[in-house]
Amino acid sequence: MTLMPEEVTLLLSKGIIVLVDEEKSHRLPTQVQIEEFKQKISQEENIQLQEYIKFTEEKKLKIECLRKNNDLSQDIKGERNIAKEISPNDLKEKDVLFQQSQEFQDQQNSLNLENKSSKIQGFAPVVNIKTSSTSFAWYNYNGNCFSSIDLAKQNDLWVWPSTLKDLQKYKIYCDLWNQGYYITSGIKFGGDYLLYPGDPLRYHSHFIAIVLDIDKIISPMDIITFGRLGTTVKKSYMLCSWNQQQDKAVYYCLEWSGFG
Amino acid sequence: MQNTKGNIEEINEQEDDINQEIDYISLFAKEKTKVRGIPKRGSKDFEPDGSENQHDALTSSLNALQNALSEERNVSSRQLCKAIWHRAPISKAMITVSKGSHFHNMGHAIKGKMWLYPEECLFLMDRCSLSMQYCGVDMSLQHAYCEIIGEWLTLEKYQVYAYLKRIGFTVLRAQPSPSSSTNTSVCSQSQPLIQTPSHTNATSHQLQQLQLPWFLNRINSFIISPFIYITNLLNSSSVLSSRKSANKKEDQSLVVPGEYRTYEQVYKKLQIIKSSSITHCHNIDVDVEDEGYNIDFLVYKESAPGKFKKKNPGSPLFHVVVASAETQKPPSLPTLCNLFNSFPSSSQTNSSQSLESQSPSQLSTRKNILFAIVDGSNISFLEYNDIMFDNIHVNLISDHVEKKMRY
Repeated sequence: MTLMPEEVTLLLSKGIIVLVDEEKSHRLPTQVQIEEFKQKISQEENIQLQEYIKFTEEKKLKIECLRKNNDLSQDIKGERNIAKEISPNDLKEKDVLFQQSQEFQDQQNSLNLENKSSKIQGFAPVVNIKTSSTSFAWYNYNGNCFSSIDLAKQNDLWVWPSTLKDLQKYKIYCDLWNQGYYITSGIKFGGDYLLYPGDPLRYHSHFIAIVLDIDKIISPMDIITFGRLGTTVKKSYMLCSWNQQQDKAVYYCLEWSGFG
Repeated sequence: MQNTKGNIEEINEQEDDINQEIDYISLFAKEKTKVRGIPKRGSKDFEPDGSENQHDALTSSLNALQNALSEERNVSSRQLCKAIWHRAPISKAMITVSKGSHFHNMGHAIKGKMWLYPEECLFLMDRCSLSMQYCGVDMSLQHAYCEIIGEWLTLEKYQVYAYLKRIGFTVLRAQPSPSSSTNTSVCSQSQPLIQTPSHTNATSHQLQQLQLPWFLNRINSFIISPFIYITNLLNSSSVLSSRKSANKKEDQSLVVPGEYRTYEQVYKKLQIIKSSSITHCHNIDVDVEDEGYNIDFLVYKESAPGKFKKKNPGSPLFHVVVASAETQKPPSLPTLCNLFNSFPSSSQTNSSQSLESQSPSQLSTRKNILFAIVDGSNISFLEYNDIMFDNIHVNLISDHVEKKMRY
């Protein structure tokens, strides 16, 4: 997800976001941090290994039990007498199995300590690829945050709007935003913005907005082009200009009337 | 009234499909059968009406979006490749653990080691296939974007690369070919395209040359016009003289009386300006300012492991140029010429395979360049074609008759 420059500037001016200098915030990890990181990783792997062993052992026992029960029930069906004789043996067997599993677990634990988890059959730890850097000790944005446009500008982090055209676009954008429109990029529809009556996730846009210099001369061909663009996608084409003298926006909408 | 509204919605839905918005609800719908490929957006409403229904739908959409964004990448180490990032000036990652079949169409080997370009690293990380380390610690995606985007790989280029990869294409970096745009020898071997008497003003001449191919195509289409027009030209001297004045050869007609068996012969005479195609525009000044347009990626069709050869991939389906809507202007004609001349034309069959629905103008396509215009998170693809207009013949009915008569 990327923000439009208009959105960044607006959110910054409203104090909703701060800009972070990412390059400076990601420092080189120190030796201590590297060691700590490696320890943490192996600890996490160990925990996963323990859970894995516990899980497989339980599964094994369950399967064994099921098998015994199965045998038993078959025996019951066949010869009941023999079944009675077998059951004590069965218990013994269970004990042996339990002992074996105990030994196995001990073995595993000792292997664990030596951190040779990869040797255990069937075990592959789940690795988490971090999205954010915030959990890293070598990431620190303190002192690299800029809460205003001026501060960000001074540090060459944010320079938009820099041209007259950008400024006009931003003025129009803010005016429309203040009117409650949801605004996205309009490049796919041949305009600067698309205006939505509600969240674009759920609603269709109604207007294609283009920002023009107030002194721009529009040819009849332009008008036909704009009208055609809007009509084919069932939207109204909106021409927007910023009146510098009166410090307000001027809007005109183009729509084919549908008469013949 | 309701009918029209329904209509509007229907059309809007179709139109909005161009938007690359995703319905995040479908992404996490487990009970439904999962749709293959990139999830598409579901239906939308015309406008908010304040109803409970709409409110709930919006809330669930927002929640789905939130879930999608906060989803952590957890993957079994059995499927995970590992690599070590080497910072600038190397700016590549070396594979230490290789899993899966990613490297049949990604990565490149140097002295027995597999290396990844930055865009390949980011893409594999993004889709849970690669864990990268640097200086002995893991890299987060946040860090990777900060570290890797830069130099050649702009955010726009990565967006285009990732998009094309995600929809299944094999994408390779375009290696600068020896006959690329910086080659000035192309312009030195200029062949005179214009056969009209030379203008005295050098600058206006240059200007005319710059606009040539488009301008020429117009003239060409003008020339291929009904028979009556030509006979008029042949017979009526008054029309001719008015045409002649433009030509400055006052006393000679373009088509002198003689034997003409086909229209073709007459057309040739009438063609005072030879037509040109963009791939043969040698005499256009190639040394224009660099507008930052280069062939960035070569796109091949989906490839199965073992069938695709990285070293000999064949001819690509598309040559992709990445453009930034915010910082770049549309390419100038010389820039387009350079781009078209920077690669050999692919075979006819190849290009026809790539175009699912061919419009008439694409029938004789030899070369095409795909411009990927990135605006924020939107990517629009525009295709530039060299349609070889001078090879297109308009079949007049009488022309057929004439041919039949000759046999």
